[in-house]
Amino acid sequence: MKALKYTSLAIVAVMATVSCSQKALDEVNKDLNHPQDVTANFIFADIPTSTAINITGGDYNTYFGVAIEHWGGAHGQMFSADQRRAEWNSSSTFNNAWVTHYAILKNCLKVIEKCADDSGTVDAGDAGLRGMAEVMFAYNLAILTDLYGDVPYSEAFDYSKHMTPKVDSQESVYKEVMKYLENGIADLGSKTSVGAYDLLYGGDTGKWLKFAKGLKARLLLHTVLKASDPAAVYAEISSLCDESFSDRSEEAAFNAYNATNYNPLFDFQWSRDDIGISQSLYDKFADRSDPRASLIYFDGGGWCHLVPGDAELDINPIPNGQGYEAQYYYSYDCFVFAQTASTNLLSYHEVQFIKAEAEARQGNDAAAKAAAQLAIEAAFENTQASLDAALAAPDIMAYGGLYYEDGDNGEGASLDAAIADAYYTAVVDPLSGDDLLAEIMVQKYLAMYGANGESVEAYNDIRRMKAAGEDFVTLDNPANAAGKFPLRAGYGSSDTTANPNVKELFGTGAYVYTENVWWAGGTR
Amino acid sequence: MRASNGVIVITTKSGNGLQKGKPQISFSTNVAMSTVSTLPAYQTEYAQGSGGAFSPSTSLVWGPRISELADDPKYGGNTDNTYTASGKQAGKYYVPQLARAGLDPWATPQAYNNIKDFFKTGVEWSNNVQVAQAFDKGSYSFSLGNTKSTGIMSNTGMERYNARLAATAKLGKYFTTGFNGSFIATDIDKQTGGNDGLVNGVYAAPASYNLKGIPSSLPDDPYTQIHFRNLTFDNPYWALENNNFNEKTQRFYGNAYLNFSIPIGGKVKIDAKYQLGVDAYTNNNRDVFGYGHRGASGEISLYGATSNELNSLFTASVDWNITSDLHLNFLYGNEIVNSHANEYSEYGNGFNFAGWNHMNNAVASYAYEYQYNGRTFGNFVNLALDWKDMLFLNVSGRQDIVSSMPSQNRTFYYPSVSLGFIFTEIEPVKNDVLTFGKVRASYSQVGMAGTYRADYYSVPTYGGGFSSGTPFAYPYSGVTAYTPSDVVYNPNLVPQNTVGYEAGIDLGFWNGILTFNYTFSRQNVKNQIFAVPLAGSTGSDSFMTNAGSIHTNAHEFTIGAQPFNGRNFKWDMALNFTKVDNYVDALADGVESIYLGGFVEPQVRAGIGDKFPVIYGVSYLRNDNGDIVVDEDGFPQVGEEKVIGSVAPDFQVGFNTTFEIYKVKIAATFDWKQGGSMYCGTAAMMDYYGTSQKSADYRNMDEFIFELPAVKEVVDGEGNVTYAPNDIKISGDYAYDYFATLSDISEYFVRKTSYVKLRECSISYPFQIGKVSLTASAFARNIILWSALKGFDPEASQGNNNMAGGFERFSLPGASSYGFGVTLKF
Repeated sequence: MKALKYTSLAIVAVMATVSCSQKALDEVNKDLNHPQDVTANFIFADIPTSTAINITGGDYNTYFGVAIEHWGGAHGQMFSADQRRAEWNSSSTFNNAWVTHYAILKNCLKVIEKCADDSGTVDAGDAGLRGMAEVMFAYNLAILTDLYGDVPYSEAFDYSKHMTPKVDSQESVYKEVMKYLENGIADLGSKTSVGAYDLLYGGDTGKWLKFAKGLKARLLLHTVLKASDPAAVYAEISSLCDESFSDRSEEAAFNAYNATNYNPLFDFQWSRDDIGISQSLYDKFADRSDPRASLIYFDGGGWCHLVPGDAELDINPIPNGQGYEAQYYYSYDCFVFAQTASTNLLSYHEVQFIKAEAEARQGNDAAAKAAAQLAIEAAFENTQASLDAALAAPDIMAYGGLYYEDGDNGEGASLDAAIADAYYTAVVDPLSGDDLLAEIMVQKYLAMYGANGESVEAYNDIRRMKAAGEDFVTLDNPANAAGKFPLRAGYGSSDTTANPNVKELFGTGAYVYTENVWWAGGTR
Repeated sequence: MRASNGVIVITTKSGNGLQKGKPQISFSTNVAMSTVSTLPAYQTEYAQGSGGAFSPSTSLVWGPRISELADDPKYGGNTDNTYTASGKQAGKYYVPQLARAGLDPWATPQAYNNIKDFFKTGVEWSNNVQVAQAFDKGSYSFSLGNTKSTGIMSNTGMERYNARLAATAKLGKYFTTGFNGSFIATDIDKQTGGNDGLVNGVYAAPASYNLKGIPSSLPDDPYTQIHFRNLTFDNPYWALENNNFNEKTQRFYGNAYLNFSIPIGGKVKIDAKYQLGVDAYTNNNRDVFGYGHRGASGEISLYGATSNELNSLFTASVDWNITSDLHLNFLYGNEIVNSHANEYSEYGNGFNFAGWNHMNNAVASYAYEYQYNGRTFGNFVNLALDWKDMLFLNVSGRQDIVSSMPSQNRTFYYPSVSLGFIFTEIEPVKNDVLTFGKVRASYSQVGMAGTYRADYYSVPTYGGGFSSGTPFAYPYSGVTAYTPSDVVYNPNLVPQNTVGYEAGIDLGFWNGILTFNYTFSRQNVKNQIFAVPLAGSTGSDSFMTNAGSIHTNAHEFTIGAQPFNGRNFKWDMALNFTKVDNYVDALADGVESIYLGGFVEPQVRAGIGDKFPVIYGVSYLRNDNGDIVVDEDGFPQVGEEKVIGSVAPDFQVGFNTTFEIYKVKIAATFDWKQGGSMYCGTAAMMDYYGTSQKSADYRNMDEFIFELPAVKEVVDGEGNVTYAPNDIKISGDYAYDYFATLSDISEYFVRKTSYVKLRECSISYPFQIGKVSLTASAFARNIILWSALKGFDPEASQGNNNMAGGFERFSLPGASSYGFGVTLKF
């Protein structure tokens, strides 16, 4: 019976250590591994990062960079995209970007909500941070609807209310974009203490305000064809540009890149080796004897030969839409090695090109030229910065680094203001009227090519020009004439599989070749 | 509670039941050799390249004929080019990789069977010794075993040691006590599988390239790879040497108990038992991509868990012979399970320098910890009644309280009842032909808890998509971000409930010479808990909720026969037929389907209207009539995403038979699976890369027509579209474009997977040498006799749990094994 006694004691002891009260079980089930809430600065910290890596510089930039012939597709998905195979009308193509895009927008809303004056959180009334989140919301929502057209919006961002959000028209979404942007501009008059958690500007709301003004100019330009009084809009755009960045140091350039954090274009090519030089782009540089061409292209022998000013370059570009699927066969540019080059959410050169276009379209050639000259100078400096980043890329250095064939590493290259001015004087200055406008658009197209994630905006320009019947920037892919120029991005498969509203609109995906977005003259 | 997924009852040998006396010792040893069971047909005619031109660095094998390489304008030894500037090399061609390796770069064109060369024979040794002994007041047994195996790839293998100990002792008149415990230690070396797996670099290797013979790295730099293609995928030989995936696990499980048993009068017996058990393990993983992986500086992940689960079980029962015909047993039980797990993961991004693939050499490192607790309380009762060994009734009920559920839904209750009737026990029915006959029926409910967590924030991560590594990580410059989790949980989650109905009949003829069993069961699962994939536009990724109702119909039918049972010749056999069909009955509002696995597209899922699981993805473009429509060049086109294949088999049949002639015992087990299909990524990707025999066959044809029945569009003068049978011929020169087009259509990847296999066949013979008995045996396992899927083992796939074997892409090939063993008994 002693054994029984001890056993009973053991049972009681076990029972005593493990309670089954609801309170005890709540404690057992408590999530020890994550915070259930955080302050707004921690949420905001990822917004510029994810935007730069996943939206501005991510898959959109590579795919549409191939569509508009900033690059040719040498291999894999980019080869398929260049060949206009199923890539464009497959819902898996943009799914990663689609999902991340909505997550960023949701996070922006979370910050705005926490910073509301009456939120009751410690962030309540932080108007400066709220303004930053509003600008990022507008920035991302605009790219979303620019690329996908009609998108889930009014029922989006909250699964607990709508698991299958309905789709809203681009026109109505653009109104929301402008509303958030205006709110942001108003709120950015206040300061914030977010500091280092703002990886774009270190919490400087003055610079954010200049970014917001430039962004407003970009977005007004997108929808100008739908405006009742375009002339007034161009005038507004021009004055917004004046209120925006005063030089390159103020541009919205995200740069948290180093030995382990990669510029997204570098990450793409380092992982995939799928893109190479575009023939039509190379031709545009060659036609203009562009000083950039001799610095940014490698010859066909490999990836370690930068030859400044060498007229005998053995460059092997990809014939647009007509290449072979082959790696290490076609030539590369320096941008794909620019491991630490910035991702430009909005660049100074873009703002100056916007102004140049707006002035040129109003017939103010002198003002247009002045802006174009600033834009070209900035674009050259920007390219030089990417080139410097490629030459100093930590991962490439581990393999011997890039070098100039003449051994003159670092002194030969200098895309400085003097070279830019000489080029401007030769190529842009003599022009006027429509010729000037056309060259401004080409120069913008050339300037937006690079390591900085600016191809999507160049794609928007091309669609806008197509809608206006303008053929300033010619593309050579023969598939375009056969009705296979992608007019938009196809919805992501997470919605085509889980949201019938989107599945129906997606269909077989063939609509990406036939349906323009609203601001480019389409209906959806 | 756990019975919802079926129950495995483990009975541990404790020496109970042995004859009292001296210890019984047995020793067995086995050796088995495994080899790849089947390989896909690999073309050895064409060389690496694209568009018919040789290219020594592309991933494609659409180059010239291997026999024509010497005439290649850029690399041929017979032509004038950069490499022949210092003299021609008749009949040879220039291989840049040989030059990089410091060898004679001029090679005579020939075909290598890179797939066959890569795999080797795996060997598995296992030994086991067991000692058992019984005494007047107790018994014990222990065993020790070890297994050591090497895989069909170099530097892969497994080592396992296990020890088991069990004993019982009688303590006086009413008490018995005992314990049993097992300890297992395993050490496994693996390689990557799936899309990132190293077999990708093997199956897609051009036959023109000597993958095995050309060194995989520079002569003076083992960390710079030489490969036939770019380093999106490592050279597989380099990977075997430089990448390593090691998993070490140690696990102890066991329990100790005290049992009190007392008879009251002659008819009643009361039993009470308390048992305390533990299941504890540690698991440590070390995944290393060495310096030079993908041409970069490598990475390392260390992760693992320490887990403890305590199980307290108390039962008390009354056994009562009410009359000589009526017998009752009533049992009450209480079970408490308390678990705790600590998990860790550490990630090192890049190594500072080559030669030391270690966390302490990481350029940047990150560490994470996770802790999980769980607790379950169960109370249960069971009442069993039987009458005249003829009629059996069982009624049970159980209540569980589970910590992982939302507080208002933690408690749930589920009952069961079953009835069996052996009608051959009725006097008028008794006869010599049908000697045993039983009908049975049961109804049961089983509840199962899910996992609920409050909404939380976590550090966002980067990677996936086109990235081959981790392109960005927090903290950056002292700043860390937290964003709302993309996995969300329903705060009103309720336990899932399975209602099962089962009916069956068991018949035995001539005292078991012929037996026949049939069971039909239906299980209705209500409030099925799963992670519902959310539309990205919700801003969240998946939602853990009660999302639907499913049901399963299962027919199981067995015939056994023993046609001969003589002294020197015995023969018996059994055939087992099963048909298990699963259907989704309803899905919660907003839920479109149940995601079981796969990629973003294609995926394996369950949806309303289809026997699941199914493969869902991009289909061929079809017209309203359901015919595949080709384009003007005769190529198939991309259609909508829909169900493109059914994974579930129509039925499965198992057959086993044993002959015993004198003392020679021959046994064989056959498996036949009929119906079902899988997404076979390897086969279709080999067509695309141009390494499959099919790709070469299509190139060799002057012209061909799209391989499936299809129609083409015919437009009349007024623009009306009608359809006519597809007769558009595609030139063999466009075979690459043809397979490249097909590679965008997941429906092309779906292959039938019916098979017949010899699962095992063995022969054994016992010898008696003095007091030692020895049994020698030889066996063969997993021999494919016939398969609808040519060149692949239909069972070698990824994610066999949820996806039911419906998905394959560069998986390790299946293996057949052969071996023999000896068992000694003293």
